[in-house]
Amino acid sequence: MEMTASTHGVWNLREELVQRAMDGDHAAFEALVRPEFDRLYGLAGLLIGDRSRAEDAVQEGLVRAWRDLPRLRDRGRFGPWLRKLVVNAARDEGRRLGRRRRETELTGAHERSGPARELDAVLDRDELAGAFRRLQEDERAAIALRYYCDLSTAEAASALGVGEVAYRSRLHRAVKTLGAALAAEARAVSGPEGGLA
Amino acid sequence: MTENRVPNDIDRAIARSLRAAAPVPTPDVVDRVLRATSQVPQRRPWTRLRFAPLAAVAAVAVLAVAVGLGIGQLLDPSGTGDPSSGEPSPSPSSVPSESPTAEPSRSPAPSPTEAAGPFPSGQSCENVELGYAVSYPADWHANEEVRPEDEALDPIPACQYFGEEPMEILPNAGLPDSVAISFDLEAEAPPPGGEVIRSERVTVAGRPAELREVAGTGDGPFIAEGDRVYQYLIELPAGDVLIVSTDSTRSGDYEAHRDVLDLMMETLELAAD
Repeated sequence: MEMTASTHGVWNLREELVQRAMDGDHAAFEALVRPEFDRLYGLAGLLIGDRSRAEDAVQEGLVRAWRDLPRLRDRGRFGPWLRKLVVNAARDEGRRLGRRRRETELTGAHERSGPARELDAVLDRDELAGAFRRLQEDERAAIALRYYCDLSTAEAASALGVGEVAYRSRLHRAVKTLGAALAAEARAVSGPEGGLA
Repeated sequence: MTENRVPNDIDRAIARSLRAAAPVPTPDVVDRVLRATSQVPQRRPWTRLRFAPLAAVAAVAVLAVAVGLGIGQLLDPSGTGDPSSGEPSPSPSSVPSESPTAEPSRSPAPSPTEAAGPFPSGQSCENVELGYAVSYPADWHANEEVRPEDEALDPIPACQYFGEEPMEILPNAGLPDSVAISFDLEAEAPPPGGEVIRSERVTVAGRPAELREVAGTGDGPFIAEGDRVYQYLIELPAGDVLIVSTDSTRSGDYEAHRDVLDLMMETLELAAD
C-alpha cells in the first residue's frame, strides 16, 4: 500500500510540474528535464554518432518541447513525448550531417571533427559497436531505445511513431545483425584455437 | 536452454556496448541547452488560440440575417420591406458573402480551389484551425491535415505549409526542406535572433503587421551565420501573432520564395476581427 501511495504521490508531483510548465513556469520545466538530460543526450549521440551534434539535437528537441508544451493534450505522456521530440530531432540532425558529409566527401575536403573521431574510436572498439554504427537509422533507433533507454516495446514504438509489430520487426532485424557481429567477434577471439581443432 | 541463453548474452553485450559508447554531457551543456529553451516564447494551447473558425463566422452571419429578418417581421408584420411598394425587399448586404471566408472547407485535405488575384490560375486553401484563407501559385503544394493516432501528439492543420514540391509533415518533427513558406501562431512576436536588415510597418488582411528580414549572425540558437529569414508578423485582435515566414535554408530559391510570400500576403483573409 505504501509503495502504491508513494508512487501515486510521485506521479502527482510530476503531473503538477508538467501543468506548471504548461502554464509557462520554466523552473518547473527544468525540474522535469534535468533528471532526463543525460539519457536524452546519450540517446541522441548514439543515433547521430557525433557528440557536438548530440547537443544540437537535444537543444532542438527541448526547445520544441518547451515551445509546444501548452499544446500537450495528456500531461501523463510528457516523458514519451519528450523522448519522441529528441529522437526526431536527432534523426533530422543525423540526416543533415549525412548530407553534409556526402557533400564534403565529393569535394575531397572531408575530415571528421575531434568529438566525432572520439566517438568513432569508441564505437570501433569492438565488432558489436561497429555493427551498431553500420545499422540503418531506424534500426539504430530501435536498438538504442530498447537497450540504452530500457523502454518497453510499446514505449519504444511510440517514440518512433510506428506500430508495435513494425517496431518488433526492426528490433529483430537489428538484433540479428548485431548477433552476427558478436559471433564474428567470438570467432576472431577463438580463431587460432578453432583453427587447431 | 542454449537458445534462451544466447539472446540474453546478446542483450547484455548490446546494452554494455551502448552504455560505453553513449556520450555523457558536461554540466555546462545542460545549462546552455536549458538557457536556450528559456529564450523561446511558448505557443498558446490549441483551444485558446482558435479565433472563430470560418464556419462559425458564416454561421454567425446567417444567424444575424435571421435575427434581422425576425426583427423586421416584428416591426412590419405585413412582411413588406417597403410599405409604399407592397413587395418584400430584403437588403442585398444581409446575404452572406460568397467570398472564400463564407464557404469553409471541412475536408481534411487542403482542398485547393482555383483563385484569382496575383497568381494566374492559382489555388487557395483554408486553415480552419488557425482561421485564415490564402492563395498560392498553381504549381505549388500545401500540406494536408495530419491527425496522429497518438493523442499526445499535435495535430497538424491543413494549409499551414507551402512549397514547390509535395511535402510530408510529421507530428513533433522538424520541417522537411521542401517547405518554403510556413504559417504559425505565437503568443507574442519572437525576438529577431539575428541582425534585422529590414523592418517595415505594413497592413496585411486589414491588420497591423511588421515585415521583417533578419540576417543570422551566429549568436542566436536558431539562425546560422549568413542565413536569412523573411517574415510577416501579423498582430491579431486577441494579442496573438500570426507569423508567415520563409528562410534561406529551405530548398529552392530564397529570393523567389520571398516574392511568392509577398503575393500570398496580398491574398490573405482572416476569419474574424
